[in-house]
Amino acid sequence: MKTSLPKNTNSRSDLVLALGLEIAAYALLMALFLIEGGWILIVAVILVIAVSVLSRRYPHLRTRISAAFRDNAKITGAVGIVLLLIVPVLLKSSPYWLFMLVTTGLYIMAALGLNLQLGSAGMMNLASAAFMAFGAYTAGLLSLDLGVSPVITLIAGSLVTGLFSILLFVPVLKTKGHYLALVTIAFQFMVVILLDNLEFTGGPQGLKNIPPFNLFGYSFGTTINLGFTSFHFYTNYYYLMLVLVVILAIAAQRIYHSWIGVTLATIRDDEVAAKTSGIEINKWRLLIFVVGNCFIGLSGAFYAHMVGFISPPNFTFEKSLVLVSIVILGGMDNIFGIIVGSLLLVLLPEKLRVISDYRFLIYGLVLVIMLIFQPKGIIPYRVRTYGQSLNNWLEKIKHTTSDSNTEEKIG
Amino acid sequence: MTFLDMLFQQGINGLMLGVMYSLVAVGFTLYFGVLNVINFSHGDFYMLGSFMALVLVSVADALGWVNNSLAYVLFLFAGSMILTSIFGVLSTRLAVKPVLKAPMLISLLVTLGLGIAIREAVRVLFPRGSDPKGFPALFPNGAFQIGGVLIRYENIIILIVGILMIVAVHLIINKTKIGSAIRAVAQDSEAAMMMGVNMERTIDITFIIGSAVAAVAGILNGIYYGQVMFNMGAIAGVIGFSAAVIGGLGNIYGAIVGGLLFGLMETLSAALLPIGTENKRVFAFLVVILFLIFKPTGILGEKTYERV
Repeated sequence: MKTSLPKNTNSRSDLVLALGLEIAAYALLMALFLIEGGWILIVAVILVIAVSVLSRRYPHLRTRISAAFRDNAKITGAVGIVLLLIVPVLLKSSPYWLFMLVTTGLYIMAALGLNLQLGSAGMMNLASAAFMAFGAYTAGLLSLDLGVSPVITLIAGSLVTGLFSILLFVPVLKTKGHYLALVTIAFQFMVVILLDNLEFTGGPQGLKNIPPFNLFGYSFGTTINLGFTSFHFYTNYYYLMLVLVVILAIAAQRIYHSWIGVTLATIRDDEVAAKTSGIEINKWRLLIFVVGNCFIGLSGAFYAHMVGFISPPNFTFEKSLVLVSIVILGGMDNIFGIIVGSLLLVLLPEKLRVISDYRFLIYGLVLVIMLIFQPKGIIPYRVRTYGQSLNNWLEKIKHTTSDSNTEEKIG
Repeated sequence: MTFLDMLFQQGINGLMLGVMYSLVAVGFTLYFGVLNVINFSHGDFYMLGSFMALVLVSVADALGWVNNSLAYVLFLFAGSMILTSIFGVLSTRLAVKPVLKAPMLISLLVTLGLGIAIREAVRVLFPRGSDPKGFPALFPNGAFQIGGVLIRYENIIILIVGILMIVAVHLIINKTKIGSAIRAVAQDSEAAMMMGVNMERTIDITFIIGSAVAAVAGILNGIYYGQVMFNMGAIAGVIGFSAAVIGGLGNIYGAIVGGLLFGLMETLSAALLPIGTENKRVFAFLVVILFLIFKPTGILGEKTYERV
């Protein structure tokens, strides 16, 4: 890590830099919500493009910024948490945007799962919306027909989705590349057609009146009344979404930094090499496929309880496409990129409602242009550097052991 | 109607659908052979073909030329094929060529995005583009009977036009100079370039053929159902790709076999299975998945050697 500056010399200005950037990004996001009209959108887009061009042109700027955030992780983290917690206060007058923010959170949760498959292991999954449907319908049916408590349906939705992804077990292991893409597309279409035609899923009408989430008897569908002021019931879901996103992000981060993450990256980058170094490809591919779909299913179950109404058009191929775009445009195998990608791809089109007739046209064009000019995503994937810890580890090995021991650890 | 009659009837319907699917699948397999890319926007050129025909119909209306003479029908077909292939070549040059060297994920997503853009452009640019559009009945009305089965002239002509297109593609690929260039590039693009094949031109012509054939399929589809819609390309693309894969990706005859098989599977499962009518595509896709598991190279595909 030759680029990281010696500590203490710049710490004050680094802190100011990191906090300034954090607050500026937050202010821009809130301005997008609160200010009517298209010009703020144009400002935002120009700023995002400027940042991405600058960080490409001056790589040392990027390392400096990431170093600034890393060195002041505690302070920036604390400020970030406070900023996120006060969002419902700022958006008090516009519950619509609060709802969109929660929806973005759901996309982040699903995209984190998809990223495990697509980004970490290189497995194409164009059926993520179908898996979301498994989660949503499981939660809906359990709570409507059996009256199961929503806490359990949320978990059940996630697990059942994982179980159903084993349906695709054989095709997923036997195909790859274009063929895997086709298997998942075919599965996606099959699921939507079946949802439309089966009786117990309610057919085209879907499931209505799914009870809101509740925790220890407190229903999330009620307005928060503080006496002097009150908050829309989406506020409940906003905080629940924050908790779940944080849990899933930490889980994804742990997987990324564990030997599992490294194993998956090996499989993604060179399957033959992975196999020859003794990695059981099929086991890991299956595991990560199931775990990723559990994430996606959780997001679907959450959606069912929040909106209370699900039907087949909620889970079409287009939604799968949006999720894949989030992962690829945000930056593969990169959790921060997923969050940025979700904000851009879910919130910007909403803002584009001003020119609503053209927004999907613009969406398609932007997708094509972005992928041609910035194919690695907004925040490109970087090879892992286990800077300090790897050095420590090598030191330790030098002192203590023989060659055979190290080989065992690497394998 | 006896069971056999019903089977015969559904067989005819299946063949007709199958011919249209084959025409779409041919494009997928050509592009894969020449460029090693799956062009997911191809289904939207099928849709574009039928909408271009509608544009020409209104142009002819404005000029006061409304009759269903052979010249009129030929004008619609040829005009739509030309317009669609112009769009095909343009969009390839702008969007597909830049990502040829990129990983498969990127080209997949670019072509999907291109498909969305084309679909939405049609929806936005056509008056009341979100609604289904009526399509003129270009072929003569009437029907004849064989046994207990009623067969419409229209359906027979659709079948014949489809088969003629397939024969035309076969002749172009096998009997012309440009056809041998396409086959050479598909086999080994570097060797082909060293032998003096003009790569750029070959790619352009491949896309002209693919788009023109898809345009014919789109028009036939419009005549068959009597209406077209801006988003019909999405499912047609998936079916065309499936058909190309069942037949063996990269093999033109495979694409034709695959398309016919897919059409037959749809109509027969609708006829024979108890809940088949609504779920006909579920069964067809299930067969596609089974194919990918047990014979991923397709019916006529060659073996690949990259198993680990």
